[in-house]
Parts: sequence; C-alpha cells; structure tokens
Amino acid sequence: MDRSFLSDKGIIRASREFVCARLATYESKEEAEYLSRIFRGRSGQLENTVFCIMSPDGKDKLVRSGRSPGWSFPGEEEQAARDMEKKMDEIASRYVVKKEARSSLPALPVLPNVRLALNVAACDNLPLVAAVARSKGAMQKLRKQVNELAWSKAFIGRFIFVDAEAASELEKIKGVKNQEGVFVIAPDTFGQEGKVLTQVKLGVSSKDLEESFARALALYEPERKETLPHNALGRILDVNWKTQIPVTDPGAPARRGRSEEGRSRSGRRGSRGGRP
Amino acid sequence: MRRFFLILSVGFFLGLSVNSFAQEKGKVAGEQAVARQAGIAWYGTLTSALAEAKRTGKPILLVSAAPHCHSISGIW
Repeated sequence: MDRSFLSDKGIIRASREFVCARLATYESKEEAEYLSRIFRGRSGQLENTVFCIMSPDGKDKLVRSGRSPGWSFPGEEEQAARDMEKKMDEIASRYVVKKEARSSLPALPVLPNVRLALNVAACDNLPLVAAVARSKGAMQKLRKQVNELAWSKAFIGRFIFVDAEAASELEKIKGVKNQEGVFVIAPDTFGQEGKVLTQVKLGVSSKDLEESFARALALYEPERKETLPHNALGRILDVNWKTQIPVTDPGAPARRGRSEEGRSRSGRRGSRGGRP
Repeated sequence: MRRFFLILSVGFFLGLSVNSFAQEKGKVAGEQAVARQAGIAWYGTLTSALAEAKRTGKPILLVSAAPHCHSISGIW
C-alpha cells in the first residue's frame, strides 16, 4: 500500500468529500469478489493491494484502477500527490452531497471484529477504541458518543474503532477492568495483543470520554516500523496471521507453517497466531 | 576508597542521564502522538462504506491492503 500518498496533507483534506473505504484483503469472500472485479494483476488473481476511486454506488471506476495510487497518478511523488488531490477535488465537485447528510455525522467506521481491528491498529500505528456494551440500547448510546468524537477536528483519523458485546472479546488485551464502557487500547507490534491506555465506564459523560481520548493519544507511543526487521522478529516469535480466505497474490509465499498435510504451526505452544 | 567513590559517582551520573533520557524519550513520543496530523477516516468494510456513500451521495476512495506481510501481522 502506498502510504506516502495516503498520509499527504492535501489528499487527507480532499478525502473529507469522499467516503473512504480501506478493506482488508483476503478477510472477506464477498469483498474479495468485489475487489477482483475492480482490479486483477497479471496473474488474473486478486493481489494484496487494490486502489481506485469509485462512483457512490460502487459500480463505476472514476480513475484507472491498480495496486496503488501510483498506478493512477504516476510520476514524481510530490507531483503525483498533487495530481491525485486535484483529481479528487474535480471528482468531488461532480457529486452533490445530499442535504440530510450535510447536517448529520457519518456513521462510526467500525471494523468487523476485535482480532482484525487490533491488527489494523498495529498496521496503522494508531490506538484502538473498543466500545463494549451488552444491550443494544447501551451500545447505541455509546456509539453515538464515540461517533461525535470520531469525526471531531481533534480526533478524526486518529483512532481505529471496533465494538463488542462483552469484555471477554478483549481477552488479548491487558488491563481491562470494566465489563462495559469504552477502552482505548495500544496494540502490540504485531497487533495480536494490546494494553489498555484509558478506560471509562458505561454512562460516561461526553466530556470525560473526550478527555479519555486525549489522554490516550498523549500516552500512546507509535512505533517506527521497518518491514525487514519487523518480519525478521515476527519469524523469530512465530507470528502467523491467518487470513479468512486464501491469499492469491503470486508474490506472496505459501502460508508459513503449513505442512503438506495443511496443518499450521500456529497450533504449537507459544504461538501468537491462530484464529480468534 | 577513592576508587569506590569514583565508581559510585559515575554510576550516579549514568543513572541520572539514563533516567532523564528515558523521561525525555517518553515525553517526545507523547508529544509526537498528540502532534500527529489528523488522518483519513477509513471505513473498514465494503458494506459500511457503500451504505455511507448511498446516504451521502459521495464518491468512494477505495483502497484494499493485506494487514500482514509474508504472514507477519502488524504491517501493511
């Protein structure tokens, strides 16, 4: 994934007029089918990364699709980022945002489960916000409070979000004291475990929740990650992420730890891998 | 005896500087985290992104990436 484009200030500004979708490749069969219709590599298969700008119904490609923004906006990095920003502004100007959407907040961008959310948070070097409530009513209230902060100027794009019905879903997280509430979590290097930075109980005031978010950001120490040492350490520690569907990228090696019989090493004692 | 005090004072100053370095490192990291720019707010599922695009009429900036590298999680 081309991180330089997606952390560019101009592109972040332009992104506010888009619905930004970043899917986790090979984690959903339906999403993989959709992505395969948008871009397939030379192998004819879905590859690790896909990039495109789509119409609001998700059917029409508005730029050339590829593996990264660089495929649609080639050339020297800075100029390519400016080209992408300009194109995004031009595309956004073609669509009139619905009136009712202008006066309400977008929905909370939650990931489908804690396992994936923790990993994505580690990949992004961002803290994870987990809202935990047993009843639908309590969850609805909690989500509304979290959502107001998620889209606020101070916090937009600075957290990953997930919700859970029970604190037991946070079993890989150290420091969970409350059964319900909002937990801000620092993921570990490999996004398989985490520790609580701040936590507030159900019924927290919006002001206290905001303070909890701000305190968590101040406490969180993002890591500087380099692919080679990260992977080398991961191999030593026997980290083994299992995707939900098979990886079809021809550049990806066969899944580590699978014997010819298809057994995984992740079942071994001390392994950090495995399904949730 | 002189040697003992010499070692003690070197140890004391080393301890002080390591401690202040660690404090400074923690402070800097915390400040960096707070000072980090707002980022793109990503929807993590296709269903939620399509629903939001339908609700707003906004086009979709679509990216997909595997949250692992050679089966090692924690890195895109």
